[in-house]
Amino acid sequence: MRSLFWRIFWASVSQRKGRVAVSVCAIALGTSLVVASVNLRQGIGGKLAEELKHYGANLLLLPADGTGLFLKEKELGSLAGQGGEGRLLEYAPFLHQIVKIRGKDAVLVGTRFAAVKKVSPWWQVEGDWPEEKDAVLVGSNLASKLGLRPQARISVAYKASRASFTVAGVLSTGGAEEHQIFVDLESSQVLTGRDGLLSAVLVRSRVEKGLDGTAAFLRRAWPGAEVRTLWQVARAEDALLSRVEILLTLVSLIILFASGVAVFATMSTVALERKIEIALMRALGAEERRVALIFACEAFTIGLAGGLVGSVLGLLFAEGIGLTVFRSFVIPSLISLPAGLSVGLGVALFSSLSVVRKVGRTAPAAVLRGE
Amino acid sequence: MLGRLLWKSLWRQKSRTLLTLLSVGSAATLISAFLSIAFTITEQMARELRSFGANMLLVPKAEPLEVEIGGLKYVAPEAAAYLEEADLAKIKTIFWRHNIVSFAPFLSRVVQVQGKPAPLVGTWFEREISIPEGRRFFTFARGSKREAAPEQGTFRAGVKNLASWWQVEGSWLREGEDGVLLGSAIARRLKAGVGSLIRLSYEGRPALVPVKGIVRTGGVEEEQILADLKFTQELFGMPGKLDKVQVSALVTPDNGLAIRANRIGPTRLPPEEYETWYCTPYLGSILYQLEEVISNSKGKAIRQVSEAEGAFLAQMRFTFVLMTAVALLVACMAVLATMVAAIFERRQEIGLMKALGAERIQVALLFLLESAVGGLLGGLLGYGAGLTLGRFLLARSFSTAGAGLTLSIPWLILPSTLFLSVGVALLGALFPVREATRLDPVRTLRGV
Repeated sequence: MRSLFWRIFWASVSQRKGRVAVSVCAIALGTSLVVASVNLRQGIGGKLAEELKHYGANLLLLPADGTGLFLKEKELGSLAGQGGEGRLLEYAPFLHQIVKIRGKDAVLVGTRFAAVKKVSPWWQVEGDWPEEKDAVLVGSNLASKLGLRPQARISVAYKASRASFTVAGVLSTGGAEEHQIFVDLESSQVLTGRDGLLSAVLVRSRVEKGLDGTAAFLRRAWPGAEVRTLWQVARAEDALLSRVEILLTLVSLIILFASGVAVFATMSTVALERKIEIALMRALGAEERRVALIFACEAFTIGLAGGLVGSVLGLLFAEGIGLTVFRSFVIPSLISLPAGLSVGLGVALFSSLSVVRKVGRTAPAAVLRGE
Repeated sequence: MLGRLLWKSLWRQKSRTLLTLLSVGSAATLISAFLSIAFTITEQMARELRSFGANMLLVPKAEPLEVEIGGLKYVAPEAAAYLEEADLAKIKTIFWRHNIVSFAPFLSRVVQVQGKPAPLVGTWFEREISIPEGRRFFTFARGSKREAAPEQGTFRAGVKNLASWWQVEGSWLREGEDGVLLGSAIARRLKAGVGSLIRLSYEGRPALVPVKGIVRTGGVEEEQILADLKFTQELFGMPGKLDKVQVSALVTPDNGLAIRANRIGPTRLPPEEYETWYCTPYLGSILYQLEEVISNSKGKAIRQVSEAEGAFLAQMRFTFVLMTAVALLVACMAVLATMVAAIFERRQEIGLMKALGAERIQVALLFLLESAVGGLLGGLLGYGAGLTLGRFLLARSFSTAGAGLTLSIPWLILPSTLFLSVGVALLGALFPVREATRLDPVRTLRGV
């Protein structure tokens, strides 16, 4: 009896290669869509969060009330050692001072240009970014007021000390930076006699770590600094991410449903043509349970094969999208494999068994006569 | 004869027809839902983002140099330049007035508070302004006339709409109300809370004002004292004057034309290109139109906001376009599989028809027609379902959907959905029909 069961099962899979292939194909496609969307749903949130770095810093460090007017640079350096690397994406130190240039008051800002480029990616420089210690960026409004162009030489005075610089580029941002002049941090510290001191630090934290957690970390790690959340950036990010998450979740659900229906249609069509076969088995005395078992075994095999192929295909789709849009791999989500397999198996079993049920309810003779 | 055959075969095999419809329909649903989302998502996101900071700034043409640290701004009196408050209502008369989401004027000076300097900023918190009645036409060099989008009677301007991230403890100031909001940092320094009185003075003119609320933003506002514009104009002795205006407007991403206009200046574009540029809501063209109505002004893009938004939205759209492509591909394959399976099982029928003397072409035509009808019906069903679904999704994901601008559903979605579903259904039928009609009828009938 056992061997008959397996013989029927084996024959129905191997002798109907075309139809089995179509079924496996349909299930693989449905599964691939599900796996791809689950992976993207999981992966894209993080990727888009990284894209939000275009918004610039989301935290600002200032000297805390009652601790003097400056932050200490060496404490900034020690942040990394306290586990800051995982939380901070970028940070740029600043030292502000009002100086005299060509007889006019102007705000001189010392900073590290490599860091600023990353924290404020929207800065637009006409000319070049400074590379030497004596090169400066001049805000566009200041430049037009002083008549400065790239390559011009300027002399900056603060109290008794003086220094001369070369203008490397003119900066436009649409913000207060257009009224300021930017130099290398060390040069400004030397000029103003404030060795190792800072007046502010802009921090871009990693969004996925949670902004509140990072702010709390900074407060703990650097008691001398007041940590301010830049709510404009933080709120905009929250809004964007939550929208994207909701949308992707809903889209995944739709995909799940639609691909389930499409696969169901294909599987049922394939199973429908076997009405006669089912009726014949029943006419020869097989119980409905026994027929159902044979069909379930078949559906399971097809579902499993399709599900596996589809999972691989879906992962490829997801990685393809990740690579094209974000130029990096999407980390495969662990639940995508079980989700994909269960959709494949579930739909395969459901559709083939529903046909068996349907045929079981009519008399075999009627089905065989083709009614 | 053909029609009757077609009807019979569709109607008699109801469950098979239903399954085909189901398959095509669900695929078409996917396709049209995805297309409608991909078309509108950037618009939705952009609208959502407009409450997170102005993307444009208007300043006087002879913008004075600000010497500013920690929000304390010093402007030499002789260098001061202003905009006129009376011009503000004209912002809603420009060609792209429909895209102006909000704006707020500012006037600020350093005042003495309890013996220490602090910036006092006058602005509109929430102000209803009425928009001049009537339709507005713009005439261009080539003689063509275009009408600006119509607008309702009133418009709500002010920082409350512009800066949704401000957290105010206490209450916002009403129009013309006496009192100030304090930035949280300066409030802490002054040891002032909601309800306390603070003493201000500007060039010897004193004022005693109640604190109505404390503002927390994380930005420069933390160090500022905010008051109604009218109050500051009176205190500073500058009636009707402004320092700057922040504007939040919906813009489309720059393309080649916009970049060229920015580089050589819009007035040097050829007339027809100038017209296209003027009538497209680029950041540059809206700034240009604002400069036209606000006398003596210079428009600037706030690059932090505009660039980040552009980059993010482009990425978002790209993701959706790719997801749509994948969904499209897979949906088509699924339909293909259903069609192949549906015709495969009818080989005997085909054999019988051939044995009865039907030409190959006739048989093929019948089956292809059947598939086409299935594809068309399924496509129509799916289009309706997908569009509803796409709208529902956007409405659930975005608070702004449905409000304000109506969602423009591109008309392209219907033809492309129908084309795809009919095309794929036909393609799916083609292969098995060709195989089956080629076979020897006797062998198919014997079931070999």
